[in-house]
Amino acid sequence: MNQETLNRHPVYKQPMSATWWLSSRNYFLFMVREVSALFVALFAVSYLVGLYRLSQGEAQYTAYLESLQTPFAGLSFVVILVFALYHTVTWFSLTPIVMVVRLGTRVIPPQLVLLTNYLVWLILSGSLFCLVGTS
Amino acid sequence: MAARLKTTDPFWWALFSAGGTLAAFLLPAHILITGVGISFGWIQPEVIGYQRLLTWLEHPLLKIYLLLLISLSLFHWAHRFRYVLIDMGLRSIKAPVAVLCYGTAIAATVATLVLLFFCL
Repeated sequence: MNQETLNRHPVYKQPMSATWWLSSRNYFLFMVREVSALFVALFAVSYLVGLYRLSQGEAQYTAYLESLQTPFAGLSFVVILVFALYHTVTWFSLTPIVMVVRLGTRVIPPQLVLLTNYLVWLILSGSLFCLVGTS
Repeated sequence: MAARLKTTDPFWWALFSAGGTLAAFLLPAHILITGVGISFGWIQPEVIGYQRLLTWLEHPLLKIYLLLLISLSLFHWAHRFRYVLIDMGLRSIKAPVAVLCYGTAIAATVATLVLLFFCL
């Protein structure tokens, strides 16, 4: 509905409480999924700060590396990891629904799409471990 | 006759989707290695030490990778968080919320770009 129609015919909008997402388990899990993005962003910002410290010089970057080893940073990273994993699991679960893969006239089973996602995830994560550890 | 652009949503949604996919596949490993791993001492901080990281960053592909990782993760956040704020009752200030969310992502993207390609 465009704005013009809305102005001509005012529509009743049911007021919604700010805590509606606490009223059911499904709503709550939905909100957890949506809020996971905040932790994804926090981690991206921590990398951005790292790059900034790197550009300032060796002493500043070493201080940044030391700040990563404080108990506060450790706890924050654990929380960030939990939300990031929740993001990964929920994102993969939605993939077969959003993206239906067809081969000719046949539809690839959604379970196969899901399994492929997890396999690619494992391979990418493993590669990252090897790259950071060795090169 | 050219189609009129009624909404910019598909553009933001595409960035949201790209960032969500990138974050789903790559962030847990990044967090485990450079975050939790280094914090708890399972991984030596030297793996991302000063000289080592600078040598890696001489490769433009790594710069592009980091830019995409940081920027798209933030665009993913911006789009989701915009709707979280609206769902939490900020519907009446929809426009400033959108500007704030996407603006933050755009500013951080510019900062990352400048840092990676002009300061390092």
